[in-house]
Amino acid sequence: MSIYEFETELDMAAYYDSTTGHGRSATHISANNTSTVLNIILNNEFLELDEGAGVESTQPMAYFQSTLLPSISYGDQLQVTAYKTVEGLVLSPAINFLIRSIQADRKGNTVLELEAA
Amino acid sequence: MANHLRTQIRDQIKSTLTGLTTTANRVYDSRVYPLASQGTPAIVIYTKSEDSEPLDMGTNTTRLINRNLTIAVEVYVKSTANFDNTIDTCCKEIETAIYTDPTLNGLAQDCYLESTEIDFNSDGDEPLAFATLNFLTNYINKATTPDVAQ
Repeated sequence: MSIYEFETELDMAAYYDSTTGHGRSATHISANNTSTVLNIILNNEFLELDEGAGVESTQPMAYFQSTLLPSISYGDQLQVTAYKTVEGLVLSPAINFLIRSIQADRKGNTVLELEAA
Repeated sequence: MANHLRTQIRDQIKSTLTGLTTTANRVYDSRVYPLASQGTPAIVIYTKSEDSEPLDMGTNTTRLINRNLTIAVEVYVKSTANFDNTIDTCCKEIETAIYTDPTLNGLAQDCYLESTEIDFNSDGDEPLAFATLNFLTNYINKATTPDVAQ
């Protein structure tokens, strides 16, 4: 007999946790300067733009729990803290982005397409 | 024996376009690998299309060949701001440089801008503006000496 198990809010929160999970702390700043701190998962994978000979790039995408940030708009800022090892070695420096696309998966998570600020 | 005139023309174009204000020394010919993320504004030069016809009838080895070579000058600008204006600035600098010497140091009869195509790409961490300037270059050589301009 199959047993269905669903991810709970707590499961998702643990997934995004910046200490024990995969998350990084970030600050969302809206157009009217309202700031909200939340945990995100930042993907920044290599991307080759295929015009002509091609140009190397990356595609930054931020994932977070939709309930943490119900109001978000194009052009808002997302300031992401540095990503460090437990010894404090910086693997990826703090970086600021502008939000270019908002993609809600309608299952509790939102994906933001980002541009370097 | 010198290089084919097409090679000489491509080298001459590269020399002419090297050192422009916006693109500096980021000028490449026949590049097949992608440009680095921070390696723009940049220019890449290709010679990929050419039509030719004999100017004289007959099979004599000294007959002249009239050739129309399309030189594609590609411009890349990856930037979050003013990428459209920067691409136009690059086009201005390229056109000015080419028209300063339209015979390409005596290698060609003429060289002029035939068409310009501009495109934009919003993927990635910064937008990319991309332009292709097609310069039609007319040159003539004897059939047996494609390395010597007539």
